[in-house]
Amino acid sequence: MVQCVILILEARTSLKARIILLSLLVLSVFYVSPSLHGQQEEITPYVPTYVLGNQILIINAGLFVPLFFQSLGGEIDNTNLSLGGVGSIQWSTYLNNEMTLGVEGGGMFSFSPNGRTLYMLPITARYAYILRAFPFEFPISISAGINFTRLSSMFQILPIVKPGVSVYWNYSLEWAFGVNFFYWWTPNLYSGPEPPKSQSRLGNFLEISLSALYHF
Amino acid sequence: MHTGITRKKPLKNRFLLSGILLLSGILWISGCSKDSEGIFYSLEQEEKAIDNSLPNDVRITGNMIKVTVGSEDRYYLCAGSLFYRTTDLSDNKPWTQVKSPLSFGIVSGVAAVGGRIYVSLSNGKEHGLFRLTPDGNQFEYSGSSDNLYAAKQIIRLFTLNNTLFASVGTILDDTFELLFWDGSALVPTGVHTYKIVAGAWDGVNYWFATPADVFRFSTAPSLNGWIPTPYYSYETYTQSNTSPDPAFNGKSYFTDLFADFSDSTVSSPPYPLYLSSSDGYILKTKDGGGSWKSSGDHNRSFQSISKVKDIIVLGAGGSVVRELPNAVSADDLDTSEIPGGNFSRLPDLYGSNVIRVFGFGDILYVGTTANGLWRGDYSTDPKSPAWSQE
Repeated sequence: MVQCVILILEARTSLKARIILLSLLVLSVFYVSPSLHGQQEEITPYVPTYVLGNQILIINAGLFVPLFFQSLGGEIDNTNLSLGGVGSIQWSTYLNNEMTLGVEGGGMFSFSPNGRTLYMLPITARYAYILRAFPFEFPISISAGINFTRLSSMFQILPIVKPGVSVYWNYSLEWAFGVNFFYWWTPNLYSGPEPPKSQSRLGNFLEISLSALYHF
Repeated sequence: MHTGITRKKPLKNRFLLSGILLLSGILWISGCSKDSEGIFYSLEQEEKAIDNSLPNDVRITGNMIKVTVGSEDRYYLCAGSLFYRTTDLSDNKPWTQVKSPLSFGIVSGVAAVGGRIYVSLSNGKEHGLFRLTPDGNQFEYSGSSDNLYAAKQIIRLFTLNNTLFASVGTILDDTFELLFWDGSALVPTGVHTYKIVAGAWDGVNYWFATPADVFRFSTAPSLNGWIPTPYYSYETYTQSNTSPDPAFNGKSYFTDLFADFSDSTVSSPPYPLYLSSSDGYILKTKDGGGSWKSSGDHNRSFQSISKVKDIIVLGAGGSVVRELPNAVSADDLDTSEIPGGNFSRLPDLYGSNVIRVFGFGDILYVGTTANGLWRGDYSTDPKSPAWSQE
């Protein structure tokens, strides 16, 4: 290309024509040259991949939204609970780049109209499938386990299932931050005579929490 | 390939078995409950209690009376301190606390006699019986001379047939005694060594109960005029197997007496008398103790008995108020019900340890050990009273 430029310049052309030709060549270098354009595309960020044995630790804290109680007959009724608080800690290991399996322990509190406090402390196993659009990740998860539930002097261990979806932004290779939407479904079942079966209720709640995730 | 399949199958079965066991365990654990009601159900039913000005965490330490002071009808209540307020709730007046003449004095009883209000107090070291000023707003106290009785702790104070009675003594000194007000001082009735916990007058007889004895006196009290021979004694029954009526056989742990002067089926005294016990029985006599009827075992620790509208009501330790809807009309002492209305939506009420019930016509007050005083308004519909917290 340099030789071509020299030949053009050496040709017997007018000064005006030489300037125009030279300008076109310079422009072609920046806008047409395939070699320089290709060098820009090669600068892509590093996207980490995870394998079995990679681990993550997640701390969640946020709001607990009571939704409704459902009787076994299907009737829906108000929980009468206030907006509450929730927090949890979760450890998981990658099964492969898309899936994690781990355990989670946490707790929530919320208040009744007369100031009674409902506490629920679930311990669950959690499975998550991760969709990615770097630097964002979208884990779709489900967890199940037991739920230590206390209200005033009443106490019971209930089963619990928590499906949910999260959005994480990878701040660095180690750290990510995000938001979770976890649905709490916890059946409070009785067979009678006291409490009677008619007092069985399916508890439905929503956790909206912020997360800090650490890879190690 | 074949080898690989045979290795995986037991592992898969093991996971399946573990899963089934875990699920069974969770369901088994979740199926066990010592609670009397469902946790989520309790929340679903709860409603915000209407709350008046009396502190909600007070313990009811004595009785409650309704009395006219000047032109005003008032309630006086023993709740640690002495409180009063007007009986007309529509005036929105708050409960007023009366400053105690004894430092840290706990009020154990309040009674009205001869237009004056008498209050018993104790702080453990000092004891006293004091009068309120004629306007009923404060203690009449300018010095120790205003203490009408300081010798022993008064544990019960009540008015029967316009006579003030005081049950005195503690288990520490074991010198129980029943005294009465002779117009100028508390003097002995003659009943001693028995811890009187309740008293009633049926229009003819004075009745008193200890945890294991019942006394009946048909004469007015006089200085040492009553001979302390029990009408019924559990101890005597166990020794000689005798009792005044088969309904009494082996009964003890008596807690309260109630004479029903408003029973429309009785035209003249003696009026029906009810006796409650903390081992779950209610006894009733309609002929001054000639014959008695007993309930079966309610399996409740009844602490107090009263009447609202036409319903006999019992307060019990361990989370219950029970109504006997047919006790007045049909002498049915076995049919019991939980109060209606919003009672079951107020956990601080139905979950409380109820130690006293006070009926005043259509209004029932329920005194608890830690959740203050509750009011049930039976005026509109006795089946559905409106409950609120004082």
